[in-house]
Order: sequence, then structure tokens, then C-alpha cells
Amino acid sequence: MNIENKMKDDNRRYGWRAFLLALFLIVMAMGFIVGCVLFWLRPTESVLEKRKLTEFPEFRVEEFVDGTYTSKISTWFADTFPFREELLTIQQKIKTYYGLQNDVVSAVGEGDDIPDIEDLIPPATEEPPEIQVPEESSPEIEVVPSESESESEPERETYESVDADELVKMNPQEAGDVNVKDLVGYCVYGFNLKGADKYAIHVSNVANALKGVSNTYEILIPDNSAIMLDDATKAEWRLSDEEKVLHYYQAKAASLSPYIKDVYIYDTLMEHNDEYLYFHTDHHWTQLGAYYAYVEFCKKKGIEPHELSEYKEVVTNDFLGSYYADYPQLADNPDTVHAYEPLTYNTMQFFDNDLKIMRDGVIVRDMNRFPNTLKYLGFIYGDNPLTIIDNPEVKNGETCIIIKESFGNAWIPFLTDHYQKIIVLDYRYYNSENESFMGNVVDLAKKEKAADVVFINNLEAISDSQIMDVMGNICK
Amino acid sequence: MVFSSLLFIFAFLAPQLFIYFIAKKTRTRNIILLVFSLIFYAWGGPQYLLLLTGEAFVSWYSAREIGRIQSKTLKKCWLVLECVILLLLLILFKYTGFILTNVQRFTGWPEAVPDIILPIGISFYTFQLISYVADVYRGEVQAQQAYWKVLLYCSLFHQCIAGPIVRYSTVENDIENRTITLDDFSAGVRRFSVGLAKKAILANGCGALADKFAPMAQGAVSSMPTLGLWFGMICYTLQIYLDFSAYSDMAIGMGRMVGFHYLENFNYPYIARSVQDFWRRWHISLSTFFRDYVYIPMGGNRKGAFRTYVNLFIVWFLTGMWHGASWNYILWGLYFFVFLALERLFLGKVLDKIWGIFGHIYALLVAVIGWVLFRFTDFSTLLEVLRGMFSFGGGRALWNQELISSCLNHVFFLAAALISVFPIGKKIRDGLLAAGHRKARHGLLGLVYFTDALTPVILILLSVLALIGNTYNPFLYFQF
Repeated sequence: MNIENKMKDDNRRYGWRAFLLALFLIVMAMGFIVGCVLFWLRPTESVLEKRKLTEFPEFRVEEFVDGTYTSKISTWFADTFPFREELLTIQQKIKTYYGLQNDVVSAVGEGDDIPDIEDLIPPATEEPPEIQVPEESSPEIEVVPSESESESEPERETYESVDADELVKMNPQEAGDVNVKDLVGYCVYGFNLKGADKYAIHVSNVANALKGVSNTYEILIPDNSAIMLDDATKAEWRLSDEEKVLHYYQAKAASLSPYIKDVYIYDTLMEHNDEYLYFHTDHHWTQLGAYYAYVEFCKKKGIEPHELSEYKEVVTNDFLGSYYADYPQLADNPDTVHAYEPLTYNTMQFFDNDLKIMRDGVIVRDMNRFPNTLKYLGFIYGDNPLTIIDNPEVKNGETCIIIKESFGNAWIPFLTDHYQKIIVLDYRYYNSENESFMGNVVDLAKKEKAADVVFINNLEAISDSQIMDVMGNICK
Repeated sequence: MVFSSLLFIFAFLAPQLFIYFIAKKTRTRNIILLVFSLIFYAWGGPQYLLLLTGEAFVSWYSAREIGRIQSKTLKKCWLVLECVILLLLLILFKYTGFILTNVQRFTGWPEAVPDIILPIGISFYTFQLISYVADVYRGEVQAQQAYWKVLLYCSLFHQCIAGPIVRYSTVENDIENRTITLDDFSAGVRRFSVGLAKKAILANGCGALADKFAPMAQGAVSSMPTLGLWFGMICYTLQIYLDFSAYSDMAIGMGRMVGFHYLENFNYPYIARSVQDFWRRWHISLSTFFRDYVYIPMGGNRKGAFRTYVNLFIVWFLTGMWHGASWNYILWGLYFFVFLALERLFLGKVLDKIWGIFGHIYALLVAVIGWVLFRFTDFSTLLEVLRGMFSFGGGRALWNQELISSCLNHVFFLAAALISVFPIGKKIRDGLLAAGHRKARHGLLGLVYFTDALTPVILILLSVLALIGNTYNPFLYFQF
């Protein structure tokens, strides 16, 4: 290279170096301004992750000295970075380019063996059932004598108090294994015997205690993988057979109480599994899936269900549910939410955890204005500890108490037209000792003279044994 | 504070560079660097500042005395005193728990082993200060008269907590007098951004795969298929290099931005042809430290074959121990001693003669298995992993759906990680530059300069996105 060329080259190089310098300074300056100056832009909660973000730590001398305080500031700084949600969405999109295919097998089922149900013998109706204490949980369980010594009232078991909030924080992803096939997320279900037995005990305790007062119904909702997946994939992912599991739950509960009315919805969901029963991007069922469960419930209760066509339908597009948070490729297969408003009445009261008061709400809302990851919250305002629907249009004097997790939300609107009063308890958040609330399920049912008590829960959501201890707190 | 965090990049580095370049004099700039370095160090717990400043004081004073006095014996005394104080502190903070746990195992005493927290960076700055005083003793560098400059040398936030172990001679001139050119600064930015991306995007991603397929829990290991364990360990092999070398890249880059020229700490270790070659390329500042301050002072290879092997044994025992207070690190160090001894005995000659690819495969295999020893501090898990990796057909599945799915879903990501572990990008860039200069092709040169200018900023932006995702924690159930 001659001198002239070298000078030319130097100039060009310096030009580009200066360009880099300018770009670098711009990025650093912008990062500084956004991160350190525009503090009011810092978000406090994440819609995408469905959680509250880290708060700025309180100053404590001992935490400052050992470095905990500064470490908390570092977490706060990153966790509440302005435009975090938007930047995360971009990052999620980038991750879809990491590999070749969209299908993901993140886990295979590792469920317990499902015991033979022939060993479970239902008790004779006349005699009180024997107490069943799950052996593995014995240290946690405190067996208390029933309040009444009457022979007709079977003894019940109670569990030590478990702080639901703590558990939720501690164990948020207990049920989180998800695989993706053809742009649909599927729950990887593994049967948990301990959890199943505890669930059966809670339901049977309530049913036995409410004998002659209320009917106790049990509705167990299978996962989308059980209903929508082909058998080959179920086998490949080693999923526990949910049909068999449902029979076990049924038989176990029946062996503990003759008073449980089990609403078996597996067959009807299988019959309709070519329809849109579950979301693709979310772990919940659609309201259509919930409708078929409602029809089965009505059959069991002996009332006439309404036709789906009678309801006013509200349609919302572009729903990206809980699976999307982990699998951004699902954005290419967004869901549509078909919501059905109750025929007679669409107003409810619910306990707002933030405000600590009862508030008015709408049972089925138009979700078109919701952020696209939160559209399932349009049913009974999402998960609140206590929800009450007092329907002045129904005058049959019947009250129904529902114990549910989020799967129940899409199902409850259909019941609105059949009961004068519906009381919904989300067992994960409802604290029967909270003064604002109404006591435990049994006391509440007696006080309200409830015609029906319904447990409606998803198999995956109730499979965790610790979460079942939380349910035990209100089924005393 | 870690380099790969938004807080460091935007709330620390950005203002540090801004204030630094407002100042014009080297002295003022040094003071700015010192203040920022002390804040950086104090961020991990201000109580340990006392240790850092104290050790720097002992070293500064000892070196000054060594430089001042004439008596060789006294000089040696000061050197020994400094080494003893610093090493005792290192042992106290790093190895007390380990020593007492082992004593307790055999004697039952003490009843409770105290839980001593390891001060950040102590392993690095202790060695830096020892090397400084030893170099003054050997007459290789002049004793620094100003205490704060010795403190600046050992506390410089670029290298204080994760290396490289910078020798005083490397930065002696830079501390007193340095100029920063545009070429220097842009090379620094480039190096920093490459390091940041290696850590934030690649190392963290490989780490997630390693955690999944080479899990730390024994129960999870026992159900992992053979190829899953291999995949997990290969991801860990990638992760540990990308992670560690990334910190050195960022340190070298940030140093260069402000006029310091640190030596290279890694030189593509996974292209090594032998274990000896691997250790010439891996954590160079540590292996040269042990060579210059332990192996050679003990006589190196000049005192006969037996002493050479004894010296090597001691060096590799210490190298293992330096990495952590646990038997598995010592085992890891001695594992390399065995291969280095074998290479010295006969294997080296064999490797020289055979086709190069076998040497590469051998060195990589030794490294991967070495990382198994390094990763698993619990011996029964470690054995379970090794058993699993070599139990072809022994009742353990060879592969499973999760493995296939993870491989396919990360194929481009893993390709990027592999490319960054080998000198492919560097060779292409050097080749283009050489061709451009040789044939005066301005287009080629322009392409290189253009890429040089854009890549760093793109890498920083991608890293920021990845770092935002670090606190990403989607709770599937039981929320809202």
C-alpha cells in the first residue's frame, strides 16, 4: 500500500472509529438517562409475567454493611428497568430464532403410579366412614374430634394452617411443565398420589359434614393434553393417564364419603375434542369447554341447561396466555376468547385484595381492551379470594358455594342464571380466619343454608400436595 | 456489582467514562478511577474495603522497604512477611471452613464450623499484590512510593474481582503516564461489547442448558440419559469458557478505553493440541503466576526429574485449591497434573507425531471430563455423572425427547456459541484486513471498518435485552 493509499485508509478507519464512538456514546447516554434519570417510568408490575416487580429496598445499616442492601438495589434496578415489558417482548421474539423447530419437549411426565381403584370400597351410607389419614403427611396433620358427638356426623380431619400467600410465592411454578406441539402448549401432567388423597379427604370432609344440609358436587377438569393430544404423543411424553386418574379421584372420594356427587366431564370433553375446548397459548380451558361441563352439571343436578346460542357472545382476538411467557413462538398462534354473558344478570361483588374491600364488578367483561396476555381475567375479575353474585332475577332461594382455582372462572358465569346467590371461594387466597370473610366452607354453607357446594378444579392445579394443604385450611 | 448487569453498564460505567474524559490530567483521572474502583468494590459489602485497603497498605509498605534498604536478608524478610500476612488472610477467609470441616470429620472438633463469607476478589488481588512485592524484590520493577497508586493497581475495578491477575510491570507505565487514541478506545469498546455479549447472551444461555442436562442434584442426574449428560457437560464446557473469558474481555476492553493495556488471559483454549497447550491458553495470568512465583522459585525443572514432578505436583495442587475450597477442585488440579506428567514422560512426543486432530480431540476430552470434576462439589453426584457418561447400554437410556428437542431448539444458538469459542471470527477479520492491505482493496477494508463500527453497538443492545430477560420470571400458575 503506498503512502497515498495508506492515508486514505487511515482516514476511512478514523471515520468509522469516530462513528462507533458516537454510537457508543449515544447508547450509553440513553441507557444512563433511561436507567438513572427517568425513574418515574419504572414499572411496578409485569403484565407478561403476572407478578409485582421488586420494590426499592429500605435502608438498614446492617444490610448496607454486609452488601445485602446494594445487592437488593441491583435487583431492583434490573427488575424495574423502564420499558422492561416492551424490551422483554423483543427478547422473547429473538429467542424464537435460537433453533430450528417450534415444537418443544421441555419435560416428560414423571407421575406416581395410579393405585388400583378396586381396593377402594365405598362406605355404607348408614355408617360413618372411617377416618383416612394420609400416612406420609402424618406429622403435618392434626386429627381433631368433630364438634358433634352425634353418630350420624362423621369425624373430620383438619390440617395445620399453611400460609397460602407464602406458598404461592414459594412454589409458583409447581405446575409449570409445558411442552409445545404444532404451536400449541400442553401441560405435562404427572399424577401425585399424596395430593390426590388429600384432595379426596377435603371434599369428603365437607360432604360428610354437610350431610342433610347441602349437596356436595365435585367436578374435576382434565388438562388440555389429556383431551386434545393424540395417544402416541401422550405416550411419548409419558403423561399420566388422566382418565384413570379421574377414576381414582372419584373412587377415593367415594370411599371416604357416600355424599359426594361426582360430575364426570371427561367423556363429554373427549366427544367434543374437535372443538375449541382449550386455549393454545394458555393453560386454561375456553368457555366452550366450561359450557360442556355446565351441561353435565345440570344433568347431575336435574335442571335444564341453557343452549349456548341463547347467550350473548363477546369475541376477543389475540389472546396470548400463560404458555406464551415461556414459549414466545406461540405468538404465531394467538387465541380467540369467546365469552358468554349470563342471561339474567352480569354483576357481582368481589373482595379486592389491594384495597381490602368488597367491590362491584362485572361477571363477564368485554376483554377487547385488556392487554393481550390478560384476557382470561375477563371472567369474574380473575382470581379473588371471595366473590359473591346476588342475582335478583332468580328467586328460587337457592345458594351455591363454589371452591375453585382459576379454571372455575370460565364456568361460574353459566351458573348465574340458576341460583339466587353464588359464593365463590378461591381456596388459594381465601382465608377463613380473615374477619372480612365468611368462615370455613362448612360453617358458611350452614349459615347460608346453601343448597349446593361445588368443588371445581383442574387436575394439574390440585396435584401439588402442599397446595392441597392450603385447601385444607378452608375445608375444616 | 457484576459487569454483566444493567446497573453496572448504565449507572456505573457510563458516568465513570463521562467523568473520566472530562478530566484532562492523568493524576486526576487516576483519582477518578480509584474512587470509582472503591465504590465498585464496596458495592459487594463495604466491610471488605478494609481488607483490600489493608492488604494494599501492607504490600505498599513492604515493597517500599524492599526498595529502600540494602540488606538482602532484610529484603527477604519483608517479602516473606508480606506473603505470610496476605496468604494467612487468604487462608483465613477462603479455607478456614474447608480445613475445619475436614478436621471435624476426623477429630470431631470443632462442634460447629464457622460460616465465613469469602470477600469478593480476594483470590485475585492477593496474588496481584504478592506478584508486585516479589517483582520489587527481584528488582524487576521500582517500588511505588505513593500508597494510593498501589491501591489503584490492585483495586482497579476492571480486574479486581475476576482477573486477569495483572502484573504491576504491565501497568506501571500506564498508571504514571498514558495516552488514549481513537483506535485504542474503539478497540476497547469492541472488546468490551464482545465480552458482554459472550457473558449475557451465550454463557447464560449455555448455563441454562447445562443446568438442565448436567443438573447438580443427584436424583436428576440418575434419570438423565447418557447423551444428555454429555450434552450438558459440553454446554458447561462452553459456558465456563464463555463466562470466564468474557470477564477478561470486558476487563481488557474497559482498560483499553481508559488507556490501560492488560495482557491477554485466554487464547482460544479449546483449540489446544495437548493439555500443556491448553494451560498455555487457559487463564494465562494464573498459570504464569504459578510458573513465575511458585514453580520456578522451587527450582522448576532444573533440579532433576523427580524434583520437577514434585514441583509440578505442588503447583497443580495449589492451582486446584486456588479455584475453590473443596476437594473436587484439588482433584481437578491433580487430574491435570497427571496428564501434564504423562505428556512430559511420553505422551507429548506421541501427540507431536500423530495427526493433529487426535491431539485436539484428546485435549478437548480431557478438558470436558475435567469440568465434570470442577462442576460437582459433591463426590457422589460427581461419580454418578461419570458413571452416567460412560454407561453406554448399561440400563441408562441413551437419549430422550427432551434432549432432541433442546438440541433442535438451540441449534443456531449453539452454533453461535461454538463459533465464539473458536477463532473463526478473528481469522476472517484478520484475513480480510490482510487481503485489503495487500491488494489495496478499499472495499474490503471499508467492510471490516464498517463491521467494527456497527457490531459493538448491536452486541451491547442485544446484551441489554438478554440482561433484562435475566430477571424474567414467568409464573405460570397461582398468580393474578
